[in-house]
Amino acid sequence: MKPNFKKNISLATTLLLGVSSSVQAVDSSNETTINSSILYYSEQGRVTAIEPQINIINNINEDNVLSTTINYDSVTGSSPTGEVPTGVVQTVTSSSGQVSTIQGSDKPTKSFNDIRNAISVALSHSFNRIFKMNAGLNYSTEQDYNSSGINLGLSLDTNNRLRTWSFGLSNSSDTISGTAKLDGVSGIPEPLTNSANKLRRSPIEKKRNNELKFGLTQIISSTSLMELSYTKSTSSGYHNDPYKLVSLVDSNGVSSAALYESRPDQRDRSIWSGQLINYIDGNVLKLNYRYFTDDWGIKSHTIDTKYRIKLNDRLYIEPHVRYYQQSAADFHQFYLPIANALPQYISADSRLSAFNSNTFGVKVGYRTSHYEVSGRIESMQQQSDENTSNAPGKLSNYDLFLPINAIIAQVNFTMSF
Amino acid sequence: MNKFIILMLLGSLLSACSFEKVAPWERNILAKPEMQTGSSSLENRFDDHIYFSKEASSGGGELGGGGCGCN
Repeated sequence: MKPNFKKNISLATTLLLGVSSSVQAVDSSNETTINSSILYYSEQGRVTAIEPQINIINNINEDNVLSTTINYDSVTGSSPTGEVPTGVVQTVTSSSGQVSTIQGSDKPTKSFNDIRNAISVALSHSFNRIFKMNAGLNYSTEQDYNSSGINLGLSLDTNNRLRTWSFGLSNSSDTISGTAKLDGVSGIPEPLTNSANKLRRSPIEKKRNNELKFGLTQIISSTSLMELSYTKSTSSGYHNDPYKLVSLVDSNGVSSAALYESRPDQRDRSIWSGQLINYIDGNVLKLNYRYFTDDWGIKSHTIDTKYRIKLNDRLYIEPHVRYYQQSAADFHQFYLPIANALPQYISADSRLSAFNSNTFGVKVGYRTSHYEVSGRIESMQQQSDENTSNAPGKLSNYDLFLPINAIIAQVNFTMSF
Repeated sequence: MNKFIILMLLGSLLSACSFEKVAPWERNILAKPEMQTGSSSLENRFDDHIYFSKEASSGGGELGGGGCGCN
């Protein structure tokens, strides 16, 4: 039977999202599709990551599709610890022995070299043309973090397969082990204590995450469809970043100590998402909006749009724009004034502060009936309107929010046989 | 509980809306891979991981992706 490349891609997406692609007819060809990708991520002056990934989709039979994905992730560089600029030039030696200089106006950083390996397996089973189930397992490991999880989903097509209702559950369990690379002493830091004392709370900590997702896909016309979803997520356990610190500063902006941060041991999240896909004269417009809110005080909006332009039967170009905006967590502070009482929760991690981010990119692809080659390049830039001019002493002159400016590049090769 | 009610209401609203009744033989465009809600899913996975590591928000896309000690 003639291989059907397009059908396999659709089944792949069905598998990975747990949402039935109601327009697909299942055929009985025994096909395998291999998707291979390599991602290059680089932040100006900070972190670089390289991540090859391979995904194999196997049509076991008419009703069952198996998808296996393996990733390898290598991340090196340095990230801000959360401490405030010292006002003095510092020399720092990385874990690989590379010496660099931190300016007095820069926030102190910590260098690292992380390797992460991950594997996930998912099975999609069709009970009949309209009712499908999917189940998946995932596992990832790095030196100081392991995560394992399971997910299950169901989908049902109604209204002559113009509408798909979907429901999914997932559960994951993470183990965090602070290692000696923190500051020579292994274990999880005791929150809110002076990092100079290197106090440890425990050798390891755990975190558990449960998610529930409801989805609805609706065909609007012969050229457009929309998808709505609601996800409820609850995590409990250790949420701190063991490498992040908060500076204790006096009225002159001079830091006398760096405390280990402290975050709540529970986090409830709600995510509302909507997507519109529209076919316009051979081109495809995708518009996605996500609203996120949690009980840490964070609210965010994400607008993501892609426009795939068909240049000819095989070649396409796809510009991409993403806008993101978030508010700060209730317990986020860039520093802790020494005169203030010690709060129960505090973090100076920029990722929990108020900022927005813009991504602009373009993807080019070439597709035949048996393979597809594509590549994309994107620029991500963060910025913040946080007013830190009322920070004590010389801190008022420094940028306490350290924006990330990154390049994202990816090359993909897919083949079906 | 409130959110569940909202979802049910949305579902009912959708039922009431008159969407075009697209016959099965008219769905050739909708069947194209670029028209699927999860197109370029490896790309989506990479992006989910990047933005999960650099922002406070996560989720809304693929359910149950693994965690990481992203610094």
